[in-house]
This record gives sequence, structure tokens and C-alpha cells, in this order.
Amino acid sequence: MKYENTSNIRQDVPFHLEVIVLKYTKRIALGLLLTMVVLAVAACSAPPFAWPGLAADGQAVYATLLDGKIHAFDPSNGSELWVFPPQAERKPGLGCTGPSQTSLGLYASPALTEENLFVGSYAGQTYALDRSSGTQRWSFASQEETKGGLAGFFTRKKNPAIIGSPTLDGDTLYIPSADQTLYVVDAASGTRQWDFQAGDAIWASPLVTDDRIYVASMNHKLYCLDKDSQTELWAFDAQGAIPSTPALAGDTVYLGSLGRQVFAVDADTGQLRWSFEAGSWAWATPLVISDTVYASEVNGILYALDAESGAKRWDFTAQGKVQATPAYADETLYLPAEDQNLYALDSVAGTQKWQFTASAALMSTPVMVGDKLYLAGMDNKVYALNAENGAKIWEYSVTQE
Amino acid sequence: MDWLIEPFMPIMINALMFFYRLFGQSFVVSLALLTAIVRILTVPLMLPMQKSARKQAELQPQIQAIRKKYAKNQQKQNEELMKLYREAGINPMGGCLPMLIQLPIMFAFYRAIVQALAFKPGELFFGLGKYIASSAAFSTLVPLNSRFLWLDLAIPDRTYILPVLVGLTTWLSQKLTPSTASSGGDDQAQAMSQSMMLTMPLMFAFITINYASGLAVYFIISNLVGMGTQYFINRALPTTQTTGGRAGKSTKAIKEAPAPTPQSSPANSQSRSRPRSTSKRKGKGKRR
Repeated sequence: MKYENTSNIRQDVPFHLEVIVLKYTKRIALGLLLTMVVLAVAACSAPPFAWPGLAADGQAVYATLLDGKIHAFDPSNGSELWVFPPQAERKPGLGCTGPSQTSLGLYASPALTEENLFVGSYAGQTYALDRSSGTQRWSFASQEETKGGLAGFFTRKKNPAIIGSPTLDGDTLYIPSADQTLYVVDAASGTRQWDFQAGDAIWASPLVTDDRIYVASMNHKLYCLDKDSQTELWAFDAQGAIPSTPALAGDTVYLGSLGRQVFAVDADTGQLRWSFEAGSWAWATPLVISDTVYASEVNGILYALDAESGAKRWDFTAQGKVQATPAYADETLYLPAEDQNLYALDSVAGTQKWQFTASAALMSTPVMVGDKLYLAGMDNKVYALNAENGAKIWEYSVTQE
Repeated sequence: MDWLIEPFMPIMINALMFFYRLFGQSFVVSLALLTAIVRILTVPLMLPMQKSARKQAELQPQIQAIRKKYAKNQQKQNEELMKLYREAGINPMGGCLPMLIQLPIMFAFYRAIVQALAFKPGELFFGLGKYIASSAAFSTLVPLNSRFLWLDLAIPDRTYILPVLVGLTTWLSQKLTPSTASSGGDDQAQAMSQSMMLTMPLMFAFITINYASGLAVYFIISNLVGMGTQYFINRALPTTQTTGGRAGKSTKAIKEAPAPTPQSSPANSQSRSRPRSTSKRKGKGKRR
């Protein structure tokens, strides 16, 4: 449809609303469409993909932050040593699934050796980096796909995201992937050795012992594999997805599930020893100290349970949601919460000793090195605190590009 | 936008989960049922809009006549139009308000679909978890089975079949839905309507290329259900005898409309715009 005559009309008519509307019809229509798109995008604005991850030792502090990168800091003063990747590779994207915000999307906590650092990305890459310089040594790509009909037209690529940290055991690296596969690779070269199909996404880091591998899957199952033969020994049904790593103490495996339960399972046979019903999702990895299991539920309650019987000893309620496992040192539990507070609790009585308030939600497990406690906020800030009293030693803030 | 959408979110999420559990943990069945329910429940909101559109279509001859008669006096033109609307019992805002009211419901539905299909930890924790983490009945259903045919409903459809279907059904749905413009509106409104008729399906198809395919499935089901309900609405509401719109059956009304006096219409405007508009209406009438 052409409106070439409208300019002529306008010359003859000093003010004519219809003519103006006619002339700008396309622009008005376009404006309406853009408004609709903006509203649609706003309607499904995505929550954060994940939360930061931390690892530290005496040499450096490593944080995977919500800018999708890994940052290395000097533990003494918080100055940045390096960042990987140095430049963001922004991918175009629109809408709720759009990976538009970030580049590689490194969110899982890194695993450390003397020389190397291993970290997985949402794009399905696992990187081995030089710890001192942050330079890449190798990368491993996980990407399982299901072949479809019509010459592969309906081939379905599974979500390759690596959400849990890789687990290092000697020279072997165990990489959990949301594509339902546990990849086992050579830590020195990144060469694939074997893999295990879990039947659903694996979000949690595998728990590796001398002779067993425990793999938690989102299909509600905890699998126990024989390390040598790579065969499945048993599977335990947790009646809910298991998003976090189980904990092993003695001959018992402890795990939480989104079925709102905490379980104690015989590590050899997979038989249930006890279960504790929480009020909401038991997302975090339980922490076992001596004869007590500390398990949290997402609605902000931390429970202290008897490791033998599962009986509740005490509970503590934070003001916000809790996803992370508390850190522990010297009879003190350090519990981060969505309400921006880090709670220091007496591990025996469950009473609060002090609290530190950050500038954003705290969703990641803090890391304790010596007398310093490191934690990362959802606003890309990393803090070093005095573990004794919660006093801030330094703070680092990443400026988003 | 959150303050507008959030009140509807618990209802949408819990309804999706309820149907998901009830019908064999099939997300598509749950989605189809809830879409049908939402579309049917919003029919009472759509009816005043469509009634208003039809009434305005019936009044087009008088509206055109007033516009031409008072073409040089905008204030008088508006007064006369408002008077005409009042006498006919049309509230000009009556068409917009129902649409605005149902927007938050629709947006909450979009968001509920995306959050229910969450496959990233943050989305699950901050999204779906917010509504069902305490629910004994729904917690064990997580993660939802997002498989349907060749699709993973949580991620975009890379075969582009769904975006094409979204575009096609959106276009068909628009064709069936009468509006003031399409059912005998003036040239400008018709031009806009035609422009929207083409760009809307394209825009929705483009959006679904990048969104979770569950959203595309929703758009398709919603369009199909919308076409079904529109069919019954078209049968229930009286047919207008107006200017060649799809609701009308003839161009009788425009031929019988009072002709503007030569004084009331600028010479050039009359000579250029009127013949063009008449021929266009006839053309549209034939196409439909």
C-alpha cells in the first residue's frame, strides 16, 4: 500500500489529523509492535542463571561470578591477578532463554590442583587453566545429541551445561553435565576416558572415593558406581531431584532432595537408614561434622540432625532463602542467605554469634582459608572477612561490561 | 512489570503443575488445558471489545460523514463524534480496557510457562521454587518432563517448524477476529490493520525463534483455541451490515451513506482520498 499522495494533501490542508495519521501509519504500527515485544520480553524476564562459585587456598582466591568469568585474586589484598576469558564473547539472543547476558557462562566453583584449575561452562566446555596466569591449557567439549529422522533434521541437542564443579581424583577429572552424562577425562590432557549416562541432567559434582563414585541426578536417583569396573552397584530413589553433591561420613551417604527430604543411606548397599522431612526443598549438600548433620531447606531453615538417627537437635531460621552449604571452622557455622546476611552460628547450640550484611544476596558456600572467610555476592562482589568477628578485610567489585 | 504480573503467578504456576500431575505428567496436555481455560475465561473480557468494534463498524457511514463535514473544525468534529458514540451507547475506551485488563494475565501465563520449564539452577531456585518449594504435591514433580515429539520445550525449536506455525496461526487468528478497522473502519485504520496483519505474525514467529519452544506451543494452542472461541462469538453476535468488512456482507451501507457536501470537504482531499478509499474498501471486500 502506497501513500505517496499524502504529501500533496498535506500541502492543501493546514491541519488534518487523518492525513497525519495516514502518513505515519507504518510508524505507528511499528511502535505498537515494538511496545508489544518490550512487554513480552519484560513479562518473562529471566531470573539469574546461577550463583557465584568460590575456591581458595593460600596462593589465590578464585571466583566464578555472574559476569560469566573466572577471576583470580590476591588473598592478602583482593587485587585481581587475572580474569578468564579476558574478553567477553557476547552471543546474540532475545528472550527468556537468551544467553545474551554473558559470554562463556562460568558459574561452577573451580577445582584446584597445585598447578591447574578446572572449571566448567554453561556452553558445555570444561577448561583447564594455568593457576598462576589464567592461560588455557586445554578444553573439553561435552555435547551429547539424540539423532532424529529426516537426515538428522530432528536431531535434538541436549543441554550441555556444566553446572556442578568438576571433581578431581588423582589424574582423573569427573565432569558432571546437564546432558545427562558424567564425563571422565584425563586431567593432564582432557582426553575422554569413559562416561556414565545418568538418565537425566547431572547438576551436582560427583563424590569420588577410593573405590566408588556417587552420582546424583535430577531424575531423583543417586547412583553408586564401581570405580574400577565403571558399573552401577546400586541406585537410591530420593523421591525428588538431587541438585547437589551428597556427603560421605563413615559408611553413610547423606543427601538432600527437592522432594523436601534429607536422607542417610548406607554407602555400601544403598539401603535407607533414616530420612528427615523438611518444609521445603532440601537443595544444599549436607555438612557432616562429628555426629551432627547440618542440612538446610530453601525456605531458610538450617537443621542440626543427629547423624545416627536423623533426630532434630536444633534449627535456625534465616530471614531469606538458603541454597548454600554452610562453611565450618572452630565450632562455628557460616551460613549465607538470600537476605544478604552471612550468619555465624554456634554449631552446638545453634545460636547466632554475629552476622555480616553484604550488598546483595549471598547464595554460595563461603570458603575458609586460615582465619579468613571468602564469600561472593549476587552483585559480583567478593569479600574477605575476619572469621572471628565478621569484620571486612577487603572487598572486590566487578564492573559489568 | 513485576507488580502487575506477580499476583497472577502463583495461580498460573499451581494450575500448570496441577494439570501436569493430573494428566500423566505431560506438559503439553497441561499447557493446552490451561490455555483453553484462560482463553475461555477471558471471553467475557473480549466480548465488550468486539461488540464495541461491531457497533463502530455500523456507525462508520455517520462517522465518515461527520469527519468530512467538520474536517476543518477538529474540536467540533470530536464533539460530534463523542455525541454519536454516546447516543449509540459506545464507550471509546470500552474496547481498550478489557484488552489492557487481560494483558497481565497473559504475561503471567508466558512467565509461568518459562519458569515451569526452568532447566538452569537459578531459574529453578528463584523461579519455580518460589511457588512450589513448599508443596508436597508438586515438589516431587521437578524437573518437569519437557519432551514433546522432537522438542525439548525448555529450549528453542531449531527446526523452525514451530515459529512458522506460530506465524501462520497468528495470521489466521487475526483474520478471524473483527476489529473496528477491519470491519469497516476508515482508510487509516484499515491501513494500520493491514500492516499489523502482516507484521504481527512475523514478529511472533521471530520471538519464538529465540524463546523456549514451550512458549511457541502455547502461542499455537492459544491461537487455535482463540479461533474456536471466535467462531462461536461470530455466530452469537449479530452480523453488521456495513462497509465491506468481514463482519458485513455487502457494501450497501457505504453507498447509502450521506454524501458530504462540497463545502465540507477540501477539494483536493475529496478528489484524492475519497475515490481511493472507496475502491480500497471494495477491493478488501472482494479479497475476503
